[in-house]
Amino acid sequence: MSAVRDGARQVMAWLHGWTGLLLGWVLFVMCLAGTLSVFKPEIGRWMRPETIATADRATALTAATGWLSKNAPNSFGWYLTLPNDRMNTVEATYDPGTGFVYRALDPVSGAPVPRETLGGEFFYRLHFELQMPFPWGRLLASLAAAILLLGLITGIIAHRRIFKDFFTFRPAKGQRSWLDGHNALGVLALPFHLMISFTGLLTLATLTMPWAISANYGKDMAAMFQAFQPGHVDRPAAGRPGSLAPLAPMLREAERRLGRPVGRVTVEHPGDAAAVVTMFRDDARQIAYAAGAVSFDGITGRVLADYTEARPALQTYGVAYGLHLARFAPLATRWLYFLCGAMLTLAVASGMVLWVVKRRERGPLSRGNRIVERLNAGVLAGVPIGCVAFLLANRLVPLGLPARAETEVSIALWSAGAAVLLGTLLPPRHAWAVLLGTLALECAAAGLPGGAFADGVQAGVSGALLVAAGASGWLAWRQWRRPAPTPRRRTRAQLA
Amino acid sequence: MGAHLRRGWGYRANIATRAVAGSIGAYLVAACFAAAAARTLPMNRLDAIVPATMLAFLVAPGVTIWAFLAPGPLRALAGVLGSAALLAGVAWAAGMPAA
Repeated sequence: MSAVRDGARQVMAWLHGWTGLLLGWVLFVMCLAGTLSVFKPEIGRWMRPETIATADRATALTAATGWLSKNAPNSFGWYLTLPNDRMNTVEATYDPGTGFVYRALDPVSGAPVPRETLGGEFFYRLHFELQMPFPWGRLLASLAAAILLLGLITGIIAHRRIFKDFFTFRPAKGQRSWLDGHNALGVLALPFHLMISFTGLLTLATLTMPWAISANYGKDMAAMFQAFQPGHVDRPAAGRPGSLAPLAPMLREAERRLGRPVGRVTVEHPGDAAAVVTMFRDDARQIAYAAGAVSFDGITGRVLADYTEARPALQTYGVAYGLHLARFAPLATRWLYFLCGAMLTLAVASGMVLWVVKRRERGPLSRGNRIVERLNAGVLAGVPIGCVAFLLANRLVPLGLPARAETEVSIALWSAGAAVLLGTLLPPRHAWAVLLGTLALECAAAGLPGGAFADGVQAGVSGALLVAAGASGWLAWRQWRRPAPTPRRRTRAQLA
Repeated sequence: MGAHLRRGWGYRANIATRAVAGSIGAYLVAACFAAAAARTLPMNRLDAIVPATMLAFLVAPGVTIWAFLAPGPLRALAGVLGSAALLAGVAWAAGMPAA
């Protein structure tokens, strides 16, 4: 009996299951990292507890560019995010001569902070680059996002009673409970899930779907970029040294013209006579991302371009992009993003578990499904272990260690790898208990130590870690106490 | 169930054909749709890119679903390739817009 000859609903359920299985674990990593990225600045502050100095934007920008002029004068560009009410440091991406690095700069001294770390940037990059080289990570992430959108649509079609299942949960009933949980997680935040998968696809559209662009511009990408960003000044380096004019007056002028605080500053060819400084308005108070910018000649401080996006089609794209990044979101909305993201992460995880549970209740698992069962324990519990290991490493790796930030990342990846391996080798029932127990201890160890509740942000992140410790500890304990599963393993004779 | 073990090569070929139509084929249709829409929407050549690209991302899952609902695997493949060719033809006929 061919699955595809059954009714449309069954076909959709079949497609939902198989496409979900195909990239479910990748999606889990993306959803988890994306959810954490909602609080990227706050995670960054939690990971740099010693750096409590604050400075206004002009002081911080002057300090940062002063330090960069001495330590990264030959970088192609400096890409800076100025401090704001969520973040006290200057986030800087620059090339000190050894390739581009990302560092948080002290807002007063301009030098990298002592506890060198990627902070929330690690989760942000993991979310869409998956620790893979360009462009493979982004392509895989886009494919996973396309599968997520497909999974949501097929899930909706396969689903008989969306409204009724809103209110349905039948606990402790095996497959039924997993299905109810999976449905509730998917349906309760369905508009968010649809929005986030669709806008996620759009953020990488120039890479994955460039055909509308090439249809209308052919190979003339320069013309396209000029039309796309009329305010962008693309000026080649002059090859003669030049010294940057003070940036504080440019900042004042940009904020006067934009009518809003500046959020990001880029300096291209910083030590060159053709240096260009571009200042972008902050992303608060409007959904659209990077809605306006003012560019200056870096040497004379003269305004080269001043542009605020007002074309409806481009604004639509900016709003879609901004909806995904959620930088516009005030605190309450940010928490909503976080909760919806967590629900999506759990929907993906429960879907993966459901795949196995459903097949186990029908009889002995095939070899392939036994592998899925083990990888489920390994990945679904092991990847969070890696994420929390990153936070824990931040507290344990000594300050001043060479390549300290990269060491934290290595620890996170090796922990995740070890956890996945362990989860795959142990029998599934023990694997879940052991890994979730480890996760609980890890969360508690990262969340408890001294200074953890020094201010609102420290308390918020540490509190979230303790909640996670409690939840995973409870799950581990339940799993450990649970009697060995007695799947109704029917023999072939019984089935017949 | 173990039923998949009893399913023959016919079933596998059916699924494989639909999978090709629903993955590579769906992307092909979406790409051709993006090009055709970008050239035919009544907007300037820059603005048209935005709705063309956005809609292409909705066309793709639509085609994937259709590839698995079509009456037969070859019909699915032919339908997908046919729509891609049709959209490519529209894009070609419209030609690249003047600057």
